[in-house]
Amino acid sequence: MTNLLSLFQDEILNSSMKNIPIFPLPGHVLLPGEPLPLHIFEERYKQLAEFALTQKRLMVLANLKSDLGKIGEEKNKIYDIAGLGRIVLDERMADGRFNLVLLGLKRIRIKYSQKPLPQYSFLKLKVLKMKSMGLSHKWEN
Amino acid sequence: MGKLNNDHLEEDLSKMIKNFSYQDISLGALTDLVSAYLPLASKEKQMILEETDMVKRAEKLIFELKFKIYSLQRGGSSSTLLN
Repeated sequence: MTNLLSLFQDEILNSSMKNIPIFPLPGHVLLPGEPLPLHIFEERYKQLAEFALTQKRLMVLANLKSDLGKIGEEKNKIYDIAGLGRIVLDERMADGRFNLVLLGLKRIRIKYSQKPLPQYSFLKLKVLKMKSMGLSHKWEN
Repeated sequence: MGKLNNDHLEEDLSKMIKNFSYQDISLGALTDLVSAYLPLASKEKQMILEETDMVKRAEKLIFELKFKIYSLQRGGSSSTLLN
Protein backbone atom coordinates (compact mmCIF):
# COMPACT_ATOMS: atom_id res chain seq x y z
CA MET A 1 0.00 0.00 0.00
CA THR A 2 1.25 3.47 -0.85
CA ASN A 3 2.59 5.44 2.08
CA LEU A 4 0.17 8.35 2.43
CA LEU A 5 2.84 10.80 3.52
CA SER A 6 4.95 10.00 0.48
CA LEU A 7 2.13 11.27 -1.71
CA PHE A 8 2.65 14.72 -0.21
CA GLN A 9 6.43 14.68 -0.18
CA ASP A 10 6.98 13.78 -3.80
CA GLU A 11 9.80 15.94 -5.08
CA ILE A 12 7.76 16.81 -8.13
CA LEU A 13 5.45 18.77 -5.89
CA ASN A 14 8.19 21.10 -4.72
CA SER A 15 8.77 22.98 -7.93
CA SER A 16 7.01 24.50 -10.88
CA MET A 17 5.33 21.93 -13.01
CA LYS A 18 4.29 21.73 -16.60
CA ASN A 19 1.94 19.58 -18.61
CA ILE A 20 -0.41 18.74 -15.81
CA PRO A 21 -3.87 18.12 -17.22
CA ILE A 22 -6.73 20.13 -15.83
CA PHE A 23 -10.17 18.86 -15.04
CA PRO A 24 -12.59 21.81 -14.79
CA LEU A 25 -15.48 20.77 -12.62
CA PRO A 26 -18.20 23.30 -11.79
CA GLY A 27 -19.05 23.52 -8.13
CA HIS A 28 -16.18 21.36 -6.91
CA VAL A 29 -13.03 22.29 -5.02
CA LEU A 30 -10.24 19.89 -4.13
CA LEU A 31 -8.53 20.66 -0.84
CA PRO A 32 -5.24 19.09 0.23
CA GLY A 33 -5.92 15.80 1.98
CA GLU A 34 -9.37 15.43 0.50
CA PRO A 35 -10.29 12.28 -1.43
CA LEU A 36 -12.67 13.02 -4.29
CA PRO A 37 -14.40 10.19 -6.15
CA LEU A 38 -14.91 10.92 -9.85
CA HIS A 39 -16.85 9.13 -12.54
CA ILE A 40 -15.36 10.02 -15.91
CA PHE A 41 -17.63 9.40 -18.86
CA GLU A 42 -17.11 12.27 -21.31
CA GLU A 43 -14.73 11.46 -24.15
CA ARG A 44 -12.32 14.35 -23.67
CA TYR A 45 -12.04 13.64 -19.96
CA LYS A 46 -11.57 9.95 -20.56
CA GLN A 47 -8.54 11.03 -22.62
CA LEU A 48 -7.49 13.27 -19.77
CA ALA A 49 -7.70 10.42 -17.27
CA GLU A 50 -5.78 8.16 -19.63
CA PHE A 51 -3.04 10.77 -19.95
CA ALA A 52 -2.89 11.48 -16.22
CA LEU A 53 -2.55 7.80 -15.39
CA THR A 54 0.57 7.62 -17.55
CA GLN A 55 2.06 10.87 -16.21
CA LYS A 56 2.68 10.45 -12.48
CA ARG A 57 -1.08 10.26 -11.97
CA LEU A 58 -1.32 14.00 -11.35
CA MET A 59 -4.32 16.10 -12.25
CA VAL A 60 -5.55 19.58 -11.41
CA LEU A 61 -9.17 19.97 -10.41
CA ALA A 62 -10.32 23.53 -11.00
CA ASN A 63 -13.59 25.12 -10.02
CA LEU A 64 -15.37 27.44 -12.45
CA LYS A 65 -16.29 31.00 -11.57
CA SER A 66 -19.88 30.32 -12.55
CA ASP A 67 -21.88 27.13 -12.48
CA LEU A 68 -23.90 28.28 -15.44
CA GLY A 69 -23.12 28.11 -19.14
CA LYS A 70 -20.56 26.07 -20.99
CA ILE A 71 -16.94 25.49 -20.11
CA GLY A 72 -14.78 27.87 -22.12
CA GLU A 73 -17.21 30.75 -22.14
CA GLU A 74 -15.80 34.03 -20.89
CA LYS A 75 -17.90 34.04 -17.73
CA ASN A 76 -16.85 30.51 -16.95
CA LYS A 77 -13.13 30.97 -16.59
CA ILE A 78 -11.56 28.74 -14.05
CA TYR A 79 -10.25 30.07 -10.76
CA ASP A 80 -6.50 30.80 -10.71
CA ILE A 81 -6.08 28.84 -7.49
CA ALA A 82 -6.94 25.20 -7.81
CA GLY A 83 -6.23 21.82 -6.26
CA LEU A 84 -3.51 19.51 -7.48
CA GLY A 85 -4.33 15.88 -6.84
CA ARG A 86 -3.01 12.43 -7.46
CA ILE A 87 -5.12 9.56 -8.68
CA VAL A 88 -4.81 7.03 -5.86
CA LEU A 89 -7.46 4.60 -7.08
CA ASP A 90 -8.55 3.92 -10.62
CA GLU A 91 -10.98 1.54 -12.26
CA ARG A 92 -11.26 1.35 -16.01
CA MET A 93 -14.63 0.09 -17.21
CA ALA A 94 -15.22 -1.98 -20.33
CA ASP A 95 -16.74 0.93 -22.24
CA GLY A 96 -13.81 3.24 -21.48
CA ARG A 97 -15.31 5.12 -18.58
CA PHE A 98 -13.27 5.58 -15.43
CA ASN A 99 -13.96 5.57 -11.75
CA LEU A 100 -11.21 7.46 -10.01
CA VAL A 101 -10.37 8.67 -6.55
CA LEU A 102 -8.37 11.87 -6.69
CA LEU A 103 -6.52 12.76 -3.48
CA GLY A 104 -5.83 16.46 -2.97
CA LEU A 105 -2.11 17.18 -2.53
CA LYS A 106 -1.43 20.89 -2.85
CA ARG A 107 -3.05 24.19 -3.64
CA ILE A 108 -1.51 25.62 -6.78
CA ARG A 109 -1.64 28.82 -8.81
CA ILE A 110 -2.27 28.40 -12.49
CA LYS A 111 0.13 30.58 -14.41
CA TYR A 112 -1.88 30.70 -17.57
CA SER A 113 -5.26 29.35 -18.41
CA GLN A 114 -7.06 32.26 -19.96
CA LYS A 115 -7.43 30.74 -23.39
CA PRO A 116 -10.67 28.92 -24.12
CA LEU A 117 -10.26 25.42 -22.82
CA PRO A 118 -9.42 22.86 -25.53
CA GLN A 119 -10.17 19.16 -25.32
CA TYR A 120 -8.41 19.21 -22.06
CA SER A 121 -5.84 21.79 -21.09
CA PHE A 122 -2.29 21.35 -19.99
CA LEU A 123 -1.22 23.81 -17.41
CA LYS A 124 1.90 25.41 -16.22
CA LEU A 125 1.46 25.83 -12.52
CA LYS A 126 3.24 26.73 -9.34
CA VAL A 127 2.80 25.23 -5.90
CA LEU A 128 1.80 27.97 -3.46
CA LYS A 129 4.00 28.65 -0.48
CA MET A 130 2.04 28.88 2.71
CA LYS A 131 2.44 31.49 5.37
CA SER A 132 2.97 29.53 8.53
CA MET A 133 3.40 30.37 12.19
CA GLY A 134 7.10 29.63 12.12
CA LEU A 135 6.64 26.00 13.01
CA SER A 136 8.28 23.21 11.15
CA HIS A 137 5.88 20.58 9.92
CA LYS A 138 6.32 17.34 8.12
CA TRP A 139 3.05 17.77 6.31
CA GLU A 140 2.56 21.33 5.26
CA ASN A 141 -0.11 22.58 2.97
CA MET B 1 -2.76 6.24 19.43
CA GLY B 2 -4.80 3.67 21.34
CA LYS B 3 -8.06 2.05 20.40
CA LEU B 4 -11.15 3.94 21.53
CA ASN B 5 -13.22 2.41 24.29
CA ASN B 6 -16.90 3.25 23.77
CA ASP B 7 -17.54 3.21 27.50
CA HIS B 8 -15.07 6.01 28.02
CA LEU B 9 -15.39 7.74 24.66
CA GLU B 10 -15.49 11.28 25.96
CA GLU B 11 -12.56 10.68 28.26
CA ASP B 12 -10.56 8.99 25.51
CA LEU B 13 -11.31 11.75 23.02
CA SER B 14 -10.26 14.32 25.57
CA LYS B 15 -6.94 12.51 26.05
CA MET B 16 -6.45 12.31 22.30
CA ILE B 17 -7.02 16.03 21.91
CA LYS B 18 -4.65 16.84 24.77
CA ASN B 19 -2.00 14.63 23.23
CA PHE B 20 -2.52 16.13 19.80
CA SER B 21 0.72 17.57 18.60
CA TYR B 22 1.64 19.99 15.87
CA GLN B 23 4.29 17.42 15.06
CA ASP B 24 1.51 15.24 13.67
CA ILE B 25 -0.28 17.73 11.46
CA SER B 26 -0.10 21.45 10.85
CA LEU B 27 -2.88 23.89 11.54
CA GLY B 28 -3.18 24.49 7.79
CA ALA B 29 -3.51 20.82 6.96
CA LEU B 30 -5.97 20.28 9.80
CA THR B 31 -8.08 23.19 8.55
CA ASP B 32 -8.06 21.74 5.06
CA LEU B 33 -9.12 18.32 6.31
CA VAL B 34 -11.99 19.64 8.41
CA SER B 35 -13.13 21.90 5.56
CA ALA B 36 -13.06 18.99 3.16
CA TYR B 37 -15.58 17.06 5.22
CA LEU B 38 -17.89 19.95 6.04
CA PRO B 39 -20.91 20.57 3.80
CA LEU B 40 -19.57 23.89 2.55
CA ALA B 41 -20.75 25.59 -0.63
CA SER B 42 -18.13 25.54 -3.37
CA LYS B 43 -17.71 29.31 -3.17
CA GLU B 44 -16.73 29.10 0.48
CA LYS B 45 -14.56 26.08 -0.09
CA GLN B 46 -12.80 27.97 -2.88
CA MET B 47 -12.13 30.86 -0.46
CA ILE B 48 -10.55 28.47 2.02
CA LEU B 49 -8.46 26.98 -0.78
CA GLU B 50 -7.27 30.45 -1.81
CA GLU B 51 -6.22 31.52 1.69
CA THR B 52 -2.49 30.91 2.00
CA ASP B 53 -2.23 32.27 5.54
CA MET B 54 -3.02 29.27 7.70
CA VAL B 55 -4.20 31.31 10.68
CA LYS B 56 -6.63 33.31 8.56
CA ARG B 57 -7.75 30.07 6.93
CA ALA B 58 -8.43 28.55 10.33
CA GLU B 59 -10.33 31.68 11.37
CA LYS B 60 -12.55 31.40 8.29
CA LEU B 61 -13.27 27.80 9.13
CA ILE B 62 -14.05 28.64 12.76
CA PHE B 63 -16.45 31.34 11.55
CA GLU B 64 -18.18 28.78 9.34
CA LEU B 65 -18.41 26.29 12.20
CA LYS B 66 -19.83 28.87 14.58
CA PHE B 67 -22.43 29.92 12.03
CA LYS B 68 -23.46 26.33 11.37
CA ILE B 69 -23.80 25.64 15.09
CA TYR B 70 -25.82 28.83 15.54
CA SER B 71 -28.10 27.92 12.61
CA LEU B 72 -28.65 24.39 13.84
CA GLN B 73 -29.47 25.63 17.33
CA ARG B 74 -32.07 27.96 15.79
CA GLY B 75 -33.43 25.10 13.70
CA GLY B 76 -32.78 26.96 10.48
CA SER B 77 -30.59 26.46 7.46
CA SER B 78 -26.87 26.12 8.06
CA SER B 79 -26.06 27.84 4.78
CA THR B 80 -22.85 29.76 4.89
CA LEU B 81 -22.36 33.46 5.50
CA LEU B 82 -18.67 33.59 4.64
CA ASN B 83 -17.92 36.25 2.07
